[in-house]
Amino acid sequence: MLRHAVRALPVPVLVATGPVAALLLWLVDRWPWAAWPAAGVAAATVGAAAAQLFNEPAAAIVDALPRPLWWRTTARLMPAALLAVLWLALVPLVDLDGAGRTPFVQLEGVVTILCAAACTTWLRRRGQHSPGPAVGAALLLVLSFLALWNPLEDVLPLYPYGPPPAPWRTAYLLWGCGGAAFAVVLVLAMLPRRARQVSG
Amino acid sequence: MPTSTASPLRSLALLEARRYARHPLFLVGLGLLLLATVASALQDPVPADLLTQPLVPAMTLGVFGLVVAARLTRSAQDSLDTLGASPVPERTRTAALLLACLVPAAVGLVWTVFTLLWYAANRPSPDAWWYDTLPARDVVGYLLAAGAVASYGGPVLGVVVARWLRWAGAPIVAAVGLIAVTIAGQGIIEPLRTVRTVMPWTHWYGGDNGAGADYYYQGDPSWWLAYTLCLCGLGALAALCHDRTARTRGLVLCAAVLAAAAVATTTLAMVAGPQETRLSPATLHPEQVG
Repeated sequence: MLRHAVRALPVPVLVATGPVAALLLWLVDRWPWAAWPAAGVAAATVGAAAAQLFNEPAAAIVDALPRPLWWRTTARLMPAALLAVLWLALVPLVDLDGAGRTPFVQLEGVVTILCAAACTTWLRRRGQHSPGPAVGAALLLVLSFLALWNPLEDVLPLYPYGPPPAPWRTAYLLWGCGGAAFAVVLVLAMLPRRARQVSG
Repeated sequence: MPTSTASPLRSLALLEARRYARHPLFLVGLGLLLLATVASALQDPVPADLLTQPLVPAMTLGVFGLVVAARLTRSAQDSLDTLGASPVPERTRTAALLLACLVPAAVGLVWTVFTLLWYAANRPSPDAWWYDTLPARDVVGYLLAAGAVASYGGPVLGVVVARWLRWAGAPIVAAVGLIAVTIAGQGIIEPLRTVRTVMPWTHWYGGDNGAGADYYYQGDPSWWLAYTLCLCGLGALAALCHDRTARTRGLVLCAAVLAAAAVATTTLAMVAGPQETRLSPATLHPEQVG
């Protein structure tokens, strides 16, 4: 399983997104009040990178082999978990200066990774070979837009900033519920298919 | 046997434009643009930070468009790689893609005209940085550049990235890189505020100062509009130049002229207009005034 996980690592994607995510976090660290949306964009970048982890470039071959989707997804969850641990370790190094909250940024990243894993695994289950780029691009673009300009800020405060009365509790709740929902989708997508009964 | 009289470029451009208009990411971006525009237009009172509004089309049409255009370019190229050859040269296919990028540009232009007219009739506080406090030329120039031109520039960059970089992850990295560089170049870094006009997208509105007033940065948005148009032209030439047969003396000369014009216009955008960051009256955000 470990060998499968290592071979599935999209090293170029991780090498390319690492410096960009680091640049975004540095901007937040240096100018937390002005560059606060960059934290959301960085979390979305990590999610987009995670989506690439669940690609199956040789799907036509491996889908016909005995290793089921749940086994391969579990193996691929290891580098995704590593990505999440890296994110959890890096974010506390950023000085948010009251503009944001460290646990909230950590939660954003973890939920985004979960979302990427759930969506790509679900699409893999539906027969798509390499849904990673499409899921990654959609996740990155939509979440980056919402981090920069949320048109429904009053109803869905996904990226609050500053001290109260900023709706932090609602935001935590929204991201928490989103994470739980994506975890359920991921588990459902990994469940082995029931063998079809052939009648007659 | 009936024969088509339409030129290959026109036929291909129409085909690519249809593919662009049906692309799921373009439709998602369009939906977000409509949602954000309606939500802003219905706000009461009218927001004082209207000069930040072009961020919406720049993101939903420009940055989304970067990925869409790159995907379209690559998918066509992948099909041709499989088939082995194409009866149409690469420069014609690239030109068709560049013409298809006018789809988001047209939407961006409609958005810009709507915003300029809607908020001419529904004005914010007279102290806000808008028609009442700025020359109309600056407001129109900035919204055209940051809204309509950005809606074309992003997709053009997507075509350039897909033509020159074969790596599949390049458009996503380019998109997030563009966002990161733009956040840094929007004027938040004070020593770089003067030279921020070299950026393909930037702000003139500098947010509120926490004491009831809003910043407005130095420089001339009209010259920056000319600069962004030059960047689009240079991007189009860079995409066309990927085809060796397209690298004619005329094209190189055109690129040199555009590059010189870009340097001149960005310099003028820096040195023309007011040279200091201005502050609106401190009554713009009464909730902040103690």
